[in-house]
Amino acid sequence: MKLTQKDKILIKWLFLFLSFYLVFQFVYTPIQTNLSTKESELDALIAQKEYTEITLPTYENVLNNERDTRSLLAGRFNHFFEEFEPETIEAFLEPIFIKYNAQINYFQASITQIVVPEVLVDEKEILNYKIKLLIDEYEKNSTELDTPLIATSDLLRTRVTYRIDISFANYQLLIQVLSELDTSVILINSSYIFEDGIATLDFDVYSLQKFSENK
Amino acid sequence: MNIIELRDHAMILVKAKKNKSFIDVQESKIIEFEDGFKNSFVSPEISTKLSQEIRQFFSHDRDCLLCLGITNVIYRDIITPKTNEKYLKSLVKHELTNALNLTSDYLIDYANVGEMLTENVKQNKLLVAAIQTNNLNEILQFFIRCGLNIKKIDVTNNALVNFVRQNKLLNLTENSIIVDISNKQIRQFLFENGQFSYHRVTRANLNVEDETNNYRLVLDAIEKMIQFSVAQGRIKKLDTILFIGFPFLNNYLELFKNDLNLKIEQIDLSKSIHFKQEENAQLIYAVSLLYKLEKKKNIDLMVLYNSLNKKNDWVEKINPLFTPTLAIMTYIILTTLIILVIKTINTNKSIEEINAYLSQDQVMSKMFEITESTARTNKMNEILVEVDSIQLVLSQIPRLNQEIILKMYAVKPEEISIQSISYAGNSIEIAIESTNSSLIYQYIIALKDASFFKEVEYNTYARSEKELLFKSSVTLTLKEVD
Repeated sequence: MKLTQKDKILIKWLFLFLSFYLVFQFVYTPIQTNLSTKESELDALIAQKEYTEITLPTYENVLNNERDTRSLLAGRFNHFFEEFEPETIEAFLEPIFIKYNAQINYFQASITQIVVPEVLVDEKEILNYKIKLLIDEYEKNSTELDTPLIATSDLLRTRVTYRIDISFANYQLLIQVLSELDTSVILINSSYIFEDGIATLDFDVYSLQKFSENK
Repeated sequence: MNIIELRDHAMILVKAKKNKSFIDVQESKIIEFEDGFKNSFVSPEISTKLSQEIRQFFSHDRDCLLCLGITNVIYRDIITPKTNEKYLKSLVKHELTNALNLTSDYLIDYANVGEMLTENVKQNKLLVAAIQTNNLNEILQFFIRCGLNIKKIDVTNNALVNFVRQNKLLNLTENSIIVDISNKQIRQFLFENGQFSYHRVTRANLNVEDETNNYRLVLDAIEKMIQFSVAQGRIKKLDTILFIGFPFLNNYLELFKNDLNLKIEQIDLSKSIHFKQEENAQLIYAVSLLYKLEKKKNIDLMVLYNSLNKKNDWVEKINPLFTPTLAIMTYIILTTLIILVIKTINTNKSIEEINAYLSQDQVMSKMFEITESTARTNKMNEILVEVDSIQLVLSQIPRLNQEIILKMYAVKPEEISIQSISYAGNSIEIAIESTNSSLIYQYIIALKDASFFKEVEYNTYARSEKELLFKSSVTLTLKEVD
């Protein structure tokens, strides 16, 4: 079959578009896809390089910061006893008692518990009545009970009880010293009977696993 | 080369070859139509039969030249001033359209058949041929259905002019008539001083059996042609009559000579055309299409037909855009590809550079240490936050101290004695005694006024029968530590 001029022209155009399609499909698209992948990779590397360039000069600061944080944390832990042992607290408190001429009659350490420390609030019920509520509303007073201050973490607590013979003058001095003690040993209950000169002291001793500064 | 001459009632198929000095006719066939070719082309039965015959005859080569018969084309001889070919085309079209009141759908072409001196000015003598596009289209569509590829379309008159000119048959100082006698027509061509002027076709049913009658019909036709030519003022006298073939006995030549009193000749085809089969003078129109006359404008209606079709064909319209499209798209593709390749190379180079920087031992070890140290610090900070939270709560727990006891004693009336102090949680309970009950509430008011405690409460007191003392218990609530 002989092709007419028109057929030849159409075939020519067909070949042209087919060639362009093939070039687009099998040359352009793979190159473009490869380039896009490489560009994404390059963007990530540039970001990494910038981060590295910014971070490297802080090398010393980062190490110092770690050292400081470790030191600070170790300092915080010094306020706590490590895993309560009765002899340890005895060794800590007895010299104080002796200093104020206190004679220890009784000692007891209760079982250690895990507790979330909190500050007790006055749980006295607020008596609300309509006129009070209206006045509170007018004066913008809060009618709600105070919420207790509570820690976000828990720790070990052991209650230690002492009964001692002591003069009231020394009891006052002892109370003052005990109130100034480290926060992890807190005098939680105490009574003094003047007739007998006997004082009862309940301590809450809070303890934690120690943080090692050297690790 | 394949050639077809299409007449009203016949189609002549010729296979011929042009040699240096003669034309070699290899094969020929005459197909006659009783109803004329137009009706035959339309009739499906005849058309199919014709098509088969043509396909069979031209089975090897499909390229073909077409010679349109006298009655299929409008002819005119025109004398024009010598002018540029460019303007001559539009001049001829304009002249013929106006002279014959033709519509715009006519294809008009011309051949330069000679020169004339008019008032000592040289002028062109043109043979103009016109055919309606639709008519030509019908003819061509038929041949396309036959599988033929028509390369050139000429007309009978021009073919004869070329034959005469090529073979130098006529004396340029004489007026001549060439007579072609066929079964149904007597065709006569007037050549004025050797140059074609016009033709005349006389329909005549020449009965082969009655030669005398046939002779009389031909003689009558020739005489009328001479009278017509003289009457029109085209010639003053006729010098020669040439017959293309001669269907009579040779002694009739003498009769024509005597009756017309003119030089009578029969064209000798053997010098210019070699027939492989029997000699046939009717083939000279078809084979004359093979003559190529240099430097002379010739008729080719196929060129006009193609150019007209090209104008209306969208394929032809878009064809000139091919090369620019190819160039532009190739440029775009190449440019795009080059840009992409350059970008890829640059990207690879950048990746390598950054990788080289990042993979240095010093950089890697330091970055590792920084990452580890930061992670450790973050962990320690987490612990710190928890420990601080615990410490904050523990530091807020109220504590019993000497100052609180001193404050209790500071506002105490002397007559009140404290029997015991009991501290629990955030409250202190004190047991008091007094001989005067009024002192108890006064002590309470004094404690409240001193604002040492958050709350000061008492609920009862009672007199001891034995000791005569009022005993009471006061509860003091400690303020939170700031």
